[in-house]
Amino acid sequence: MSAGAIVMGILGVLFLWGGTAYFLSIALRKQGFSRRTDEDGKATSS
Amino acid sequence: MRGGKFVPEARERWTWRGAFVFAVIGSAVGLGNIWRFPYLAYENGGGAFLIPYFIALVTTGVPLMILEFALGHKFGAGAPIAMRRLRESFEWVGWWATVVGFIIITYYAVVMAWTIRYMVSAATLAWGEDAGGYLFGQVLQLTDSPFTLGGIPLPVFIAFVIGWVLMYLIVRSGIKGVGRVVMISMPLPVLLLIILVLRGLTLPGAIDGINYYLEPDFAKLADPQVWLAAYGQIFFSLSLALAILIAYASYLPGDAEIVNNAFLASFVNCGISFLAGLAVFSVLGYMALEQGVDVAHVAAGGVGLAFVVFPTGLGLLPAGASLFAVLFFLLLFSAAIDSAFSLVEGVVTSVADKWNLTRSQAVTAVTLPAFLLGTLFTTGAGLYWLDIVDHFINNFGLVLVGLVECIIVGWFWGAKEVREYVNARSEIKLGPWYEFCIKYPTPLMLTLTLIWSLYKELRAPYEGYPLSALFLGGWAVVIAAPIVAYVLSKLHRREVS
Repeated sequence: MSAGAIVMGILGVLFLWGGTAYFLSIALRKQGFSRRTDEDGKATSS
Repeated sequence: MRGGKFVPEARERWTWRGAFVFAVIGSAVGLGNIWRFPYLAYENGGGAFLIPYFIALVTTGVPLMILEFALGHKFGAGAPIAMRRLRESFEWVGWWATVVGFIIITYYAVVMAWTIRYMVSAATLAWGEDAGGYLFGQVLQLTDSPFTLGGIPLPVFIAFVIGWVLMYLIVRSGIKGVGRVVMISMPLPVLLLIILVLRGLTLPGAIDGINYYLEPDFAKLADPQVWLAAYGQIFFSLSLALAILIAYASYLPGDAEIVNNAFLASFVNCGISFLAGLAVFSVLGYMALEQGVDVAHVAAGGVGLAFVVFPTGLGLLPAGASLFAVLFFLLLFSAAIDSAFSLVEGVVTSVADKWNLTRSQAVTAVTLPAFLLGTLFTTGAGLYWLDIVDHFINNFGLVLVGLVECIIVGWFWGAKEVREYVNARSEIKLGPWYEFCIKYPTPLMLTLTLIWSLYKELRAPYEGYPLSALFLGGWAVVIAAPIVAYVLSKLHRREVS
């Protein structure tokens, strides 16, 4: 495989999946995903 | 709703944040991620295409997604009523997005039916050595002209009915039901894609295929068409301007996160597209090696890739060919199903909010006519009409809706108001760059995309179809959509007393 293809492959993974990991880590650190919503649309603890 | 006033507490809600994020990702990840992105990247500079693609993602994709989330969340309604609450005269724009979504679901359900049909065919590799002949002759029973409808192939029709029954049941189960379904239907294609990538990468010739996919040709970046292709792909693949995201966001609780959800969903969607390219081109590399031809000779996109080239390539696998063929069509089906029911959900929410219908009433009112209209696409001439309608509604209908939505919200409601609204409840705070993106590059790129599509259209008839067919299935549909939308916006709104 050419060096250019390897570099672009790595950059693609870094930006797209690295970006996903970054935003996921922010979500987990701050509001998280486990908050549930009750019937009135208010957030409740999980 | 009570007395015509918006009462947020009365609305159904996503049970938890993950359900909303999964639903948005599921809606965005569809057939285009698998059969459009890899070939588009290959044609437009290979690895170098990732640069305009990433820039388009950040400057248009994410900002527009945030805008639609903000609209749905703030006004707590589907696209038409959300637009109406912004300004009464804007309601038709919401209906325009809804009508475009409705048109797309009529034929998208047929493509999904093909994937169901092919899951059965894949078990025995029924296409043999002539996948093209099998698709056009046996499966679709393609006629020789768009105006010769021919018959309706029974297996495709049965698959079409199965697809619609599934969509009906899922959307009818309400937003909580959708939330439960996406917990399976969103991760499933990712898992299947990973299996196919791993299998693909271990095949001889795979590296040559990947090389074709990722070898950068930076000279291509000087070509404006490459940039338009990148912006177009981002726009088409994120479920924007289809009333879906506004509808989904309208079911969020009052204090819901918006900005990070948009970043997460957009990045996962694009990451999956990138992954799909690895799966597709590794198998194409193997196929080229087996057939003793260049990868460029077998590279394809769209229906040709999914139902002709890829099945041929999978049929050549040294072991487990039928298993991987079944997995591939299961991947296509699982990617298609949540995009399909999200389209239905967008229309159902619009209809239910306008006329205060129960969910069952709204789902029946939407699915029945969509099913009946979609039957046209299951006939022997269905592929022609599907191709024409898809081409025009995407390149003109969808882009126009996005442009108008962007101008209305960006310039009338105010990009600043959007930014302040979402920043008040989000984990990531948007800077002034957001306002700039919504007001300038996004409308500019959508306008250029529109002009470029129009120029290409006027230069030569699309795919050489008769002008009468292009007018009937293309221009007439594109022109009728805003007219129907305007009429719908003028119909009396039923309020609950």
